[in-house]
Amino acid sequence: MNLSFKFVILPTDALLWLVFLIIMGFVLFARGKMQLAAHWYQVFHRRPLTIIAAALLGVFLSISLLDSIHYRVMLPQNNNSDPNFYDAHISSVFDKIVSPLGTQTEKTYSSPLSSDPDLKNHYHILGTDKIGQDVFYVSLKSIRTGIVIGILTTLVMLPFALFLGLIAGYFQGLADDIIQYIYTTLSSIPGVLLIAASVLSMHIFIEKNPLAFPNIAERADLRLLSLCVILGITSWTTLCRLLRAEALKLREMDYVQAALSVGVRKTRIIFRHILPNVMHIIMIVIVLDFSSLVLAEAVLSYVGVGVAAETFSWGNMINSARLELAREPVVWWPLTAAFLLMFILVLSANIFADAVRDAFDPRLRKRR
Amino acid sequence: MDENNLLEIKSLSVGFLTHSGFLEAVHDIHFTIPQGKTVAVIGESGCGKSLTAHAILQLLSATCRIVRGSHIYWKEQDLLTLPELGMRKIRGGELGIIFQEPMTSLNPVYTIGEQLKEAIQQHKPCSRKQSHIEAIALLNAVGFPEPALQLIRYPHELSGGMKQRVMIAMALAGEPDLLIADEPTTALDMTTQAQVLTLLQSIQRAFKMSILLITHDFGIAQQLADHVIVMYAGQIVESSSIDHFFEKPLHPYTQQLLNAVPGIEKRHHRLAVIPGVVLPLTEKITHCRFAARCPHADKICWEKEPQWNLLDQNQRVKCHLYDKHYPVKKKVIEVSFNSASLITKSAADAKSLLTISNLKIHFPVRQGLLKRKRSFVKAVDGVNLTLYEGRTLAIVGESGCGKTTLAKGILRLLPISGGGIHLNDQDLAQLSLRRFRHYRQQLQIIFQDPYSAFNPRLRVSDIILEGVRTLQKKRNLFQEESLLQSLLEQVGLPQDSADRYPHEFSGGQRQRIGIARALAVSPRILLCDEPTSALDVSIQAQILNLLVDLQKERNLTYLFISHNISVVSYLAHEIAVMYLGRIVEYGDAKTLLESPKHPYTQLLLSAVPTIKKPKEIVIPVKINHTDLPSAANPPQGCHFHPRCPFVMERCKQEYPGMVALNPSQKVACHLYEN
Repeated sequence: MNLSFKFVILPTDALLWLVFLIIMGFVLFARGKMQLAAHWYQVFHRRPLTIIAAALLGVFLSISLLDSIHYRVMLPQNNNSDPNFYDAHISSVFDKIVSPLGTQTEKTYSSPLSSDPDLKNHYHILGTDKIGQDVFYVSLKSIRTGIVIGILTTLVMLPFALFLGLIAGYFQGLADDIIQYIYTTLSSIPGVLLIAASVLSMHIFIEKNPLAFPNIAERADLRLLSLCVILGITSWTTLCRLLRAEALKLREMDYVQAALSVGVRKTRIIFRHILPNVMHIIMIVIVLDFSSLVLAEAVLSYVGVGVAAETFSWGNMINSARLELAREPVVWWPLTAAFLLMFILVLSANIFADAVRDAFDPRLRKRR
Repeated sequence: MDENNLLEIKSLSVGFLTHSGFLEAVHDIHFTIPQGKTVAVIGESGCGKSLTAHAILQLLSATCRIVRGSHIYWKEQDLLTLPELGMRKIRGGELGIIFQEPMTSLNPVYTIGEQLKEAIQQHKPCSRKQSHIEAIALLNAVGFPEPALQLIRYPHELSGGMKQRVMIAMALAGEPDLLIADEPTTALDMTTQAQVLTLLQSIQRAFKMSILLITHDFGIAQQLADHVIVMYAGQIVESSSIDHFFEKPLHPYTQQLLNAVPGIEKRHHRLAVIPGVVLPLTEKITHCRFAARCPHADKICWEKEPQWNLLDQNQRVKCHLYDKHYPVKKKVIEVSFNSASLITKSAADAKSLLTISNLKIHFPVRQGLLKRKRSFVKAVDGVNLTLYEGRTLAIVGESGCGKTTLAKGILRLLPISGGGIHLNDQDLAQLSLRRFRHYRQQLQIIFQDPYSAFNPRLRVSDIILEGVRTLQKKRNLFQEESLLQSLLEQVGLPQDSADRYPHEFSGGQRQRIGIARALAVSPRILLCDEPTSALDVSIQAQILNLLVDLQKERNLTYLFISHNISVVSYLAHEIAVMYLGRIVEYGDAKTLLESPKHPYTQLLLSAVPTIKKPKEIVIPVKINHTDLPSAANPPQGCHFHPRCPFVMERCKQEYPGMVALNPSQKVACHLYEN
C-alpha cells in the first residue's frame, strides 16, 4: 500500500508518548483497585476548581500529544522522480486539525482582531508576529515545548534525586558523604554556565555531523532533548537534599524501627515506609520545578542557549518581545499570549497537584 | 464578691468554631481563687482545663469564642470587658503563667539573663544595673546555684528542670498575685518534678501568692493544692477542699479515676476502667454528661442535668446521687479480684528465658576534620539482667539513663559494642544481622509515642500483618484474615478497624494497635517502652489491664521500661533501677519498693507524689541541686556520687560492685559492702 505520507518519530515525540502511555496504564490499573479509585474520586469530588484545572491540563496535554505525531506529506510525483519523494517540511496532526491557522500568514505585525484592509481577509484573534504568523497558533504550538521541557526534565531529574536522596538519608555513612560531595560540587557550579557550555558543545556536535540530522526539525528536536537532559542533570540537587533530610528524620520514626524489629528488609522499608511518606515533598517540588523549568526555558532562550530559534516556544516569544515592547506603537500581544498560556498551565498544574496531594494523604482526607 | 477572692469566674463558657458547629469545650463553670491559696484543676485531656486557663489570660486562639454572659472577675474588674492594652498590663504582671513545655518557652538566641531582665523591665521600668541585681535575686529565689554566673547562659545549656526554674523566675518578675501553672512538671523527670513542686510550694509561701494549678496527676494536686476542682467534658463536676477530697471523693467519675491510678496495693485487682468515651460536645446536652459511663446512672440522670449539691461548706458535687429531690440509689460496684491478678508464681519456679550479660552499647563521638572517634557515650555500660518466662521485669530510671537504648540494643536495632544476649542457649549478640532475623519474631516492642509508631499511609490491617507477611514465604490470605480478626478481638478493637488508618484512632486505641502488631508474630518476649506514658489515667488503666490479661493468656514475658513508679509497682515482678547506663539496684518488686537500698532508688521513690502520702512530703535524702550528668562524661567512681547524700571518699574513687543483700535483692553501693 502506498501511503500519501510518512510518519516521522522524533526522540521527544517517542518519550512524550511513552510517558503518556505509562500514565494511561496506571489509570487502567487504578480503576481495578478499589482503594486507589477511591483516592482519585476524592481528588475530584466536590472540587469544581480541581475539575477545571484538570480539564485545562487535559487540553494542554492533548494538544502537545497531537503535536507530537509528526509526518511528512508525499509530494505530487513528477514523471521520472523517486516514488518516495516527501516534503522536507515536517507537520503534525495538530497542524492538520487547526489547518488553516498555520498557513494564514500576513506580511508582518497586525494587532488582535484587526480588520485592516491590508490583511488577507483573515481574522487573527491574537494578532500576528513579526513574520506575519498567527500569534494564537504560535502560542498553541509552544505548549508542546513547554510540556516537553517540564515532563522530560522531571523524568531525567527524578531518578537521581529519589535514588540518591533516599540512599544518602537512609543508609548514612560513606554513601551519604559521597552523595553530599557530589551535589555540593554540582550546585556550586553556576547553572547557566554549565547549561551554556553543554548546549554549545551539542551545537558543535550537530554541525560536525550534518548527515546524521538531515532535517531542520530533527536538529531542533535534538537541541530540545539535550536541553531537557542538561536541565535535569543540573536540577536534581534541591529535591535530593530535601529527600535526604526527610529520610534522615523518617528512619528514626518508631514505625521504621517496628518494621526492622519484625525483620523487614531495608529495600522494602525504603519503598513501603519511607517513599510514601516523602511523596508530598516530591509532588510539591515537581510542580514548583515544572513552573520554574518553563520559565528557565525562557531565560535560556534569551541568553541564546535555549531551544533552537525555529522551535515554537514561549521563551522565544518572550525573547523577541524585548524589541517589540520598544516599538511605537507597542506590540504587546505576543508577550501577553505567551504569558497567558504559561500562567494557565502553571496555575492549573499547581491546583491539580494540591488536590492530588490532599486526597492521597490519609491524615488530611477526613478534615475536608 | 468575697473580699478574699482574687479571681472569680462566673458562668464561663468557651468554645471553638469548627466545621461541625460550635464546640462548647467549657460549659458554664464557676469557681473562685482565694488570696494565698492553691486551687488545682484536675481532669483528663480534652476536659477543658487548659482552655479555662487560657480564657483567664485572654490567650485564646482565633477560632475560640467566649460565650456571652461569661464573667472573669480579677480583683472586682471583669477581664472580659478589658481591652487588650489593659490586659497586657495584667498578664505576665499580676497574673503570672508557667507553661508545660520549658524547652520551647524560652527564646534560644538570647541568654536567660537578657530574657529575665526584659521581663523585669516590662513591669517595672528601672536601670540596667537595677534589673541585673533583681535578676540575680530572682534566680536565687528559684534555687539556682551561683545565679550571677548563670545569667550569661543560653537556654540550650540548661536542663529541663533549670529552664522551668527560669520560667518561674520570669513569672515572678512581675510580682504576680496569681500564678497560673499549666501542667508545670509534665515534661520533666520525676526527680526534677519533685524539685519544681517543692520550689512552687516554697515560693508560694514566700511571695504569698495564689496558684491555679492545672494537672492530670492526683499526686501533684495532693501535694500542692488547698482546693481541688474536677472537670469532666467541659464542666466542673466536683469541687472540694483537699482533705475532704481524698478522704471521700463524691462524684462517680472522681471515684473511678482514683481507682484507675495503679499502685502496689492494687496489684491483685483489676484496675477500674471507665467504659465508653466522652460524649461529643457539639450538641446541646440536657442530661448528666457522665451518665453514659456511670455505673450508678438512673432514669433521672438521662432526663435532667444535675445541679450543684452542697454537702459541706467545702464540698460540692454535680451528681443526682447526692440530690435530695431525686435520690438515685447507689449501686454497689464489685471489684473483680483475681480476674486480672498478676501471676504469683515465685521467681524460683520460673524458667529464665533471656539472659543479658555485661551488655554494652557505646556510641562513638566523632570530632575533627577526619571524623575520628575521639570518645564514646556509654549509653549502656555493662548491664546484667535475666528475664523469667511469664514474668515482668521493669526497668526504671530518669530519662537519659539508657533504658530505651537497652531495649533497642536487645532488638539489635542499635549496634552492640559488647556482651551477650542469651535466648535459651543461643547468643543473639554474636549472630550476624542476617541470621538474627530468624529470632526477631520472638522479641517484639511496643513504643511510647502512639502517634509516631505507625506509618500514616498504611491501613491498620497492613500495619498489623506486616511482620507475618515478612516471615511467611507464601501469602495465605485466609489465614491472615483470621489472624487479624483474632488479634483485633484480643486487644479490644472493633472489627471494622482493619480498613481504617491509624490517625482515625485515639491514643489508647493506637496503643492497642501497637500491641496487636507486636503480638501478630507470636513473640515470647515483649519489650514495652513506656507504653502508657502518653495516655490519660483511665486509658492507661485499660492498657495495663490488657497487658496483664495477655501475659496470662499467652505466657508472655515483659521487659517493661518506665519512669512511672506507680505503673511499675502495679505490673512488675522484678524491678531493676538504672542510672547512667548501669543497673544500680535489682530486686523483687515488693521488696525493692518497700525497702529501697540504693540512695538513688530512695531518691526516685521519694520523688513520686503519691496520693497516700501525708501532705508535707518528707524527702529522706536531701537532693543536691545537680541534675543527671551526661552519659558522655560520667563522674569518676560511682556515677551517683555528686548527687548522693551519703557520699564517702571511696565513692569518688571506684565504682561499687553488685552486692547481694538477700536472695531477692542486689545493690551496687559502697554503703552495703561487707
